[in-house]
Parts: sequence; structure tokens; C-alpha cells
Amino acid sequence: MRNTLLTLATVGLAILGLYLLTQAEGSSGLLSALTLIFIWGIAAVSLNLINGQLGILSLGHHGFMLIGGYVTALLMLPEKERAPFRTRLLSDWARNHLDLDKWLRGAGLDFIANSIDLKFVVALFLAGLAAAVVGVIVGAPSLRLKGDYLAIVTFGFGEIIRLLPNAPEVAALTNGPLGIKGIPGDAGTVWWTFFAFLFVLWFLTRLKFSSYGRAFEGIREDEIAAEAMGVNLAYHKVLAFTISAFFAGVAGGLYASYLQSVDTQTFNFFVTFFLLVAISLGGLGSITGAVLGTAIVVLVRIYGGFLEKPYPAYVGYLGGAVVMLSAFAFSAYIRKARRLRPVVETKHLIFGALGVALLLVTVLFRNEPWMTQTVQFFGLRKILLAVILILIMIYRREGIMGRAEFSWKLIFGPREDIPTEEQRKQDAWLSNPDLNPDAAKKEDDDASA
Amino acid sequence: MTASKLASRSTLFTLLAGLLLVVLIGWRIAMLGDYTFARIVQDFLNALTLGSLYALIALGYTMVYGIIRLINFAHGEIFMLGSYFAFYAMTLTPMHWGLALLITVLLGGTVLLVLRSLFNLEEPKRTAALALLIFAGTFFLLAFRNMGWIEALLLSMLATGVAGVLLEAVAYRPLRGAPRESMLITAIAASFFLQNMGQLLFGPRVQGFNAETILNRPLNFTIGEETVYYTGILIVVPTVTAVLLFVLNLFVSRTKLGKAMRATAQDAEVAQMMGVNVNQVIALTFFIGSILAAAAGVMYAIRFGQIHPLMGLIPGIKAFTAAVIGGIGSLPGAVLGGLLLGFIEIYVVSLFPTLSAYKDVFAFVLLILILLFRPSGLVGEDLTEKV
Amino acid sequence: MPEPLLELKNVSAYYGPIRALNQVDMVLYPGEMVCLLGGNASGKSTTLKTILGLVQVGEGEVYFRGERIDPKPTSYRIEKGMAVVPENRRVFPKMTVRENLEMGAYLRNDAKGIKEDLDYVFSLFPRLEERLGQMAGTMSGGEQQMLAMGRALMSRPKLILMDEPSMGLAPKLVETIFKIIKTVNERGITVFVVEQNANIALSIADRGYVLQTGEVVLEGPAQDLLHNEAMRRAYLGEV
Repeated sequence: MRNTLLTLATVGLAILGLYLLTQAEGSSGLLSALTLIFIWGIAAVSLNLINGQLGILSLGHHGFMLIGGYVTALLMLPEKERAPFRTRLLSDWARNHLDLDKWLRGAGLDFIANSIDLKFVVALFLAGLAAAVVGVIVGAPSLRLKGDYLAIVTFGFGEIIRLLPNAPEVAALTNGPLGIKGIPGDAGTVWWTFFAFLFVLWFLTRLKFSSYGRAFEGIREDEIAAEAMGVNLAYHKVLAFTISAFFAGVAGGLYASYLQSVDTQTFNFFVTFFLLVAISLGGLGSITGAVLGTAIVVLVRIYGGFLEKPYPAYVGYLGGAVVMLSAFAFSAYIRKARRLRPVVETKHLIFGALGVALLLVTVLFRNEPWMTQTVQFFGLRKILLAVILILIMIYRREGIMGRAEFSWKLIFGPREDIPTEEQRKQDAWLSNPDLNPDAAKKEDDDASA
Repeated sequence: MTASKLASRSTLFTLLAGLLLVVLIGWRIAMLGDYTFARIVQDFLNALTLGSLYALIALGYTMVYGIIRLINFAHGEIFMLGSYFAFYAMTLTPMHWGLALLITVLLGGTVLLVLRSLFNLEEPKRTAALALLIFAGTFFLLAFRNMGWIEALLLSMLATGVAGVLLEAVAYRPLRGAPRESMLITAIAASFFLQNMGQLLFGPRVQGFNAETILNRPLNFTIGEETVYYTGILIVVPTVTAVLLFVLNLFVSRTKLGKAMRATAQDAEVAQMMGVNVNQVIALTFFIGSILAAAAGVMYAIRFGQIHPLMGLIPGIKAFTAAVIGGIGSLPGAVLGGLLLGFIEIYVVSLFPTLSAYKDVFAFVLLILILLFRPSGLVGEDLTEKV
Repeated sequence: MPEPLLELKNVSAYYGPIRALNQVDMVLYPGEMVCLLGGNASGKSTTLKTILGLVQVGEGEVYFRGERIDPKPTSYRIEKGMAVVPENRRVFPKMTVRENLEMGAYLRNDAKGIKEDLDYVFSLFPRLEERLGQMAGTMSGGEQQMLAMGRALMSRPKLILMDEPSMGLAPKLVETIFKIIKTVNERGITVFVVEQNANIALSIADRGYVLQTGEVVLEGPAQDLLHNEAMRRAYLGEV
């Protein structure tokens, strides 16, 4: 009861905060960032369902998002948008048949009809559904394959889905490489994405702590044992893929609305990589972790732009030197801390040497023309993300949260690291004066008191 | 279903598929009025070249997988590095002696260290001789010579080989013993890292690669009334590939290190019990795979005239598909798969021109089908752990 | 008493937080044949792996030929004269019999010596000479055991470590194998056999150690162990 109230209170506070933010001056950048966190957050927690909870590495998530994005785009194209006939087919049908506004007005619920475009809700739902159907297909191989072979198959599916809209036969529907423009941006606003995000979080959390969630994690830990316990492997695996694909499709639809256009480059393999960094950083298997990780990588992506501004070249050399030398220092520190011998290996020396060389070059040739000309380091943020992922894999595979979830107990519950009186009495070691000198002292204290 | 029944069932399946393919091709040739003998020859030459390139890259994938069960996602980027190293070797030389000295010391030093550890060259005399060769040779080439394609090829192979060893040491070795999915994720991260580093260092634009005119001079000949378009590169690629394969085969089957590599691929722990330095063997595997990919990269650049930092993506996937088709872990399988894929790609596009837009989709579809229905490939043995 | 060939002093070994060996002391003298007995999960294989260097010691030291080897890599120890016949044979399945034997001599460079040892191996196991070109994976269990032993001999070791040579073999074959082990031992090669089949191991060994949950619980001359009450009840069966 208390937990539920706390959660509701937090949600209420969040809504309030969001409202205040929307009224504030100059907050559009922050609101934009939040919108993206919500959108990618939905995609990340849906990927976490397969990669983290089910324990199957799936690399085709961008395909599901693409399907969702395109379906949403096709359904929601406004009448006046110029597009090839076939591309408009779906949106025309949608305008005629998905007009829930009529029913709402009929029922007297005008205010709902006026405030949000319900067509979008239905469109997003259908987008998710379309992605879910494909999710069944992509999930099917998981019954036969394992591990990295399965990962490659999912990657293949993702890429096939990415390439198809460009194909001549399909381009009539999807407008080929030009993509679809002019998508209404209603669903890409911070409120839409926020409530969608809340819903997805709620749903997946309920799922995680239900028998389904336990079944997924059982499959992750030991498939054979899970099967022996009566878990229907095929059903649960395909179910996980379906649900995951559904929400990925929804996220794709939201993103399409946010960008107001889609093409096949919008949802390429980098998207899956981006999500992979997010959930690995946050902790594979933890919904909280996925959200945390997403927030971090989205912020890096948005606010890391300063890395890619024009700078004089020597900044680059200097930066390179700093990176090399800190990598050298960092690895030496880690090896010292873990008591590995030798503390400095050849490969670390190479880093150090390169760092020193770059430093020398910077210092010696500081004023040469090729040092002072301006350069721009495009793609530095992507490089940073890649480096973060590699570092996580090497040094802290479980990410920030591991598999743990946030719970109110962490803040408001009793401390679990200090034994209570009750626990002390029950613990044979803690209460036995022969073994535990503190207990002996305590007995003396009790005796003399 | 017993193992033998399963095996014969999939063999039957493969044979049926093959038969269907032959019928399809025959029908198609009959339908196309203008598929002349000249076209067949033209396609054959193109396919041989393309297939050789795929084979070289596929070998890298298969060797690494065979020895540490890792799909080296970043191998396509190694291929890309090979092209770029050759490009810079050819365009930046001769260079200012100071820069040449710096590069010689850094690059030469790294190459020396790596080669020493790879090939057990601890003897001081041998090391000194090698050092002299590397440093003098590199400096000479960099400072005084406008490098031609052969020198650039050799230098690029060496540099890229070392790059592959560094990649393994930095990104993969720390994960020895980790679950395979973690290694795959790391490989993907390494791939993105190299792609974007490439874009950063080399510029994101497509770069023209102008090789020696001797290779690009047309040597067209005619068959009947049609010209077959032929340049030197179409001879060079299969020849170089054949030479490399021959040397590789010699190395793997005759030399001690080669046998150690095979032994490590079969049972790494027992190989260690025989005194094999497993780290060295793994590094060597990456070295050889990267050398071959670099050769492919340089020849690819000469053949198609362009390079760009993302050039490794699609050929990488196709070469991986080729390795899987042939049977991942099997060296002859990789070569077979590469050639097969090259031929399939060229002839399908030639016979069914409307399908050429689906070229890449087709590669992925093939990959999925093979992994689902015949993961051991054509030559490989049944990897029972996959089922 | 001559210098010990192999000595384990107060060795404890861990798999992560689990202690597999607890303060184990063992010694082997040159020319001896010593067996290591114990039930499942008693630490027998761990002992071999620790001697070989496949498992790091947590505490204690390992000495080989007077030199402290526990910080050294496996290849160093092999070079110094150790060889191993692994559990379940573990021959290289896709290499021929000849290539397997050659792998045994991986660290050697003297072609003449290698040829001599090859002939010696053939004299012990004529079957191997017949099947030189055969793929090792296609051979029977007994043949693979012979190949594994031959492979170990090819490095001209001072010490051969054998991990459960009788496992999975028919009793007649087991007898043959152990007779050959004895022959090899008589040639001067120290043999350290880890075995579950205590009867046959003790019948040809000089001394034995018994491990239980990572600790040495019994040791002594083989004859004494054979007649030891506790041993008989636990491992040899009541007589």
C-alpha cells in the first residue's frame, strides 16, 4: 500500500514538474531531450525484455522500430500531404475508418476528442501490432538456435527489414529512399511520449514480476531446467519477442512523429547499437537500469555536441594525448587494484608511448600551420559510445544496476546490512561468545548491567 | 531422428536446392535471348575476382571463429583499414623526412614488438636483423619512394596485421572466458569504433583510389562480336589470392605454429598442456586473418576505384555469409563459400537484372537460411552445440 | 633420500570463492610411481591442474626439480619436463595420429631425438604405427588412450601426469594400459596417476595419497594403503 502511494505520488510530482517545465521559458531544449529519453526509453526497455530478461541476444530491434515508424507514418499522413497514390492509401483508409472522434462526440466526450488525436492512439497500436507480427517471425528461430548464431539471424532480419522499403516493388508503398515526410508531430510531444513511457514501464514491470517474467528469467538461467519445471519454451520465447517487438513498434511510431519524417536511414543498425549501449550501461535485465542507461546515452548524444565543434587541430592532438595517457594510467590502476601481475603490459606501454608521442608532437609543432587550422571531429560521440560499451564489457559487465530494480524499500525500508536484535539472536555465529568477540563483550555488558 | 538420418536429410535438401538452381539458371538462360558466350566469360572473370576477394575476407572470419568461437564483427573494418593504409602509402610518399622518421619509429617499433611475440624471435641476432630490415625499409619507403601498388600492398598488409593483433589484445583478450554474447557485443562496439574513427581520421567522404594505370589499362578482347571488358586487376586478384592461399596452406599444414593453431582450434586447453602458448597462437590467428583482409582491401580498392570508411560493412557481412556457407571454422570451406558467393552474386545479377536491387537483401536471406537449416555449412562438420 | 622431483607445500587452490584444495602437501621422488586416489569432487583433477598451471595456487608453493614453478606459465613447466595424459584422453580429433604425436614434441627441436622417441612409442603401442595417417577422432577409446600416452611420451618428460587413465575402458584394456604405465615407469620416468580405480592403481604404484574434499587424509606406501582398514571400507570394498 505504502509503495503504491509513493509511486503514485512520484508520478504526480513528475506530471507537475513536466507541466511547469512546459510553461517555463527556454525549456524547449530540455523538453526535447526528455521526449527523446522517453521514446528511446520505451525502445530500450522493450529490448531489455529479450536481451536482459530472456537472456537472448537480439540485434534486430531497429527493424521492429522501422516497421512501427512506417506504419504510423502511412496511417497518419494528412490529407494535404503530397505523396504517391499508393503511399496515401493507408492514411485515406485510416481517416475514414479510424475516426474515433465521431464516436466520442456522439457520446458527449468532446473534450477528449478535441485535446488529443485518438487516431494516433489507434495508429500507434496498429504500428505495434504490425511490429509484433514480425516479432513472431523473428522470434521463431530462437527455438532452434542459440547464442551468437541466433544473434546473427536477428541481425539479418533487422537488416532485411531495413533494406526492404528501398526495394522497387515495395517503394510504391513506402516512397523508397525518399521516405515519408510531413507526418503530424502530435505524438512526438513530451506529453504523449511521457504517458506512453509510463504505460510501458507499468506494463513491463507487472510483466517482470508475474509468472511470465519469472519464466523468462528461468529460461535465461537454465533452459533445460526451466523446461523441466514445465515452462513451455516455444510459447514464452515467442511471446517475449512479440511483446518486445510491439513496444519497439510503438517507440518507432512515436519517433516518426517526433521527427515528422521517416526513411530507411532513420532506423539503421546504429539504433540497435545505441540501445545496446543503453541497456548494457544500465544493467542487462533491469528495467530501472535500462531507463537509467537510456537517459545517460541520450544526454551524451544531445549535449555531447560540443565535442564535435570546430577546433584548432592541436586540440585534437592534445585530446588524443590525454586520452592515451589516461587509458594507460587507468589500466595500470585497475591492474594494481586487482593485484594482477605484471602491472604494466606491453599493450599498455603502447598506449603510453603513443600518448607521450602525441604530447611531444603537440608541444613541438604547436605553431605549425597544420596544427592551427580548424578541424571538426565528426562522430566523436559515436566513438565515445563505442568506447563506453567496450569498457563496460571489460570492467563491469553487469552495468550500473546489474539485475536489481529500484524499489521503495531501498530508501524507506530498514537497513539490511546491519543485523537486527532478532537476527543476532538467531545467528549462531553472531550470538556465540566463543566465536564472536563482540558477542562476548555484549554478554559481559548484559551481565554487568 | 538419428544423426545419420538428419545428416542425409539435409544433404538431400541441399542437393534438391542445387538441382532447382541449375534448372532455374538453364531456363533463364534460354529465356534471355542475348546471353552470349562472351557474357558468360565476362561474368566468369568478374565472379572469379569478386569471389576471390570474398574468400580472402571470409578466411579471417573463419579462422578467428575456429580458434576462439568469436564472430569478429570488426573484421570488415580491418578490410577497410587495409585499403586506407595502402591509399596513404601511395599518396603521401615520399614524405618529409621528419615525419617519416616519426612514423618509422612508432610503426616500426610496434611492428617489431608484435612480430617478435608472434613468431618467437627472441634471439638477439634475429631480432636485430629484423629490426634493421623493418626500420631501414620503412624509412626508405616512406621518405624516398613514391610507393607503387605492390609496395603499398605489402606495407598495408603488415600494418593491418599489426592492427588486428592490437584489436585482439585491447578488446578481445580481456574477455577471454566471458560468455560468447559479451564477446559479440564487444566486437560490435569495436566495429562501430573503427568505422567512426575511420570517418574521423580519413574523412567521411568517398575517396577516389587511383592505382597504377598498368592495372587499369584495358586489356579488352573480343569473343565473336562482343567485347569482354578486361583489365589487369582481373588477373591480379585471383593470382594474388591463389598465392596467398598456397602460402597459408603451407603454413597451417607444415609449420609448427600452424599445427599449434590447428590444435588450439580443436582443444585449447590440451594444446596448452602440450606447451603451446595459446595467447601467441590467438594473436597469430588475428594477424594472418588481418593480412588477408588487407590484401583483399587493397585489391578491392584498385578494382572499384573508391574507398570510404564504411566500405567494410556490406562486404564484411557477405564474406561472413560466405564463411558460414562453406562451414565456419573450415579454411577450405571459407574459400569455397567465398567463390560460391561471388559467382552467385554476379550471375544472379546478370541473369535477373531486375533483382539487382535485392542483392544485399539476398545475402542476408541466404545467411539466415543457412544458419537455420544447415549451420555446419557445406564442408563443415555438425556443430552439435548449436542445436 | 634424493631430491624430490615434485613438491607441493601447503597448497590451497580456489575456483572463485570455492576452495578446492586445502593445505595439501605432497612430494614425488624421481623414478617413483605415485597414485592419487579419492572419490568424485575430492580435488584430484584440481591437483593435476595446479601442478600444470591451469589453475593458480591461492596459497602455498609448487616446486619442480628444485625450482619454484607456481608463478610460471604452463609452457614453462612443460619445457622443464612435465607431460600430461588428460582425462578422457582428449586427443586432437581432426589431426592424424602422427600429428598428435608431433604435437607432443611441440617444444622440442632435436629431430633425431624425436625420431628415437617415436620409435619407442611404436614399440609400446604397435597399433599406433599401423594407424599413423588415421584421424584421431575416429579411433576407439582404448586406441585414443594409447595415443594420448604416446603423445605425452614424445616430449621426453621427467614426469608424466595421468588423469584417470582407466575411465571408460574395458577391464582387460585397463590392465594392459597399467602394465604399460609400469613399463614406462621402469624406464625412469616418474609417474603420477590420478585414479578412481584404487585397486589397480595401488597394485602397481609405489606410494599413494588419498584426497577427500580437497585434503590429504591418507598417505603411505601402496601396500600399506591396500591393507588399510579405512581405505578398504571406503574405496576397495569389504573383503
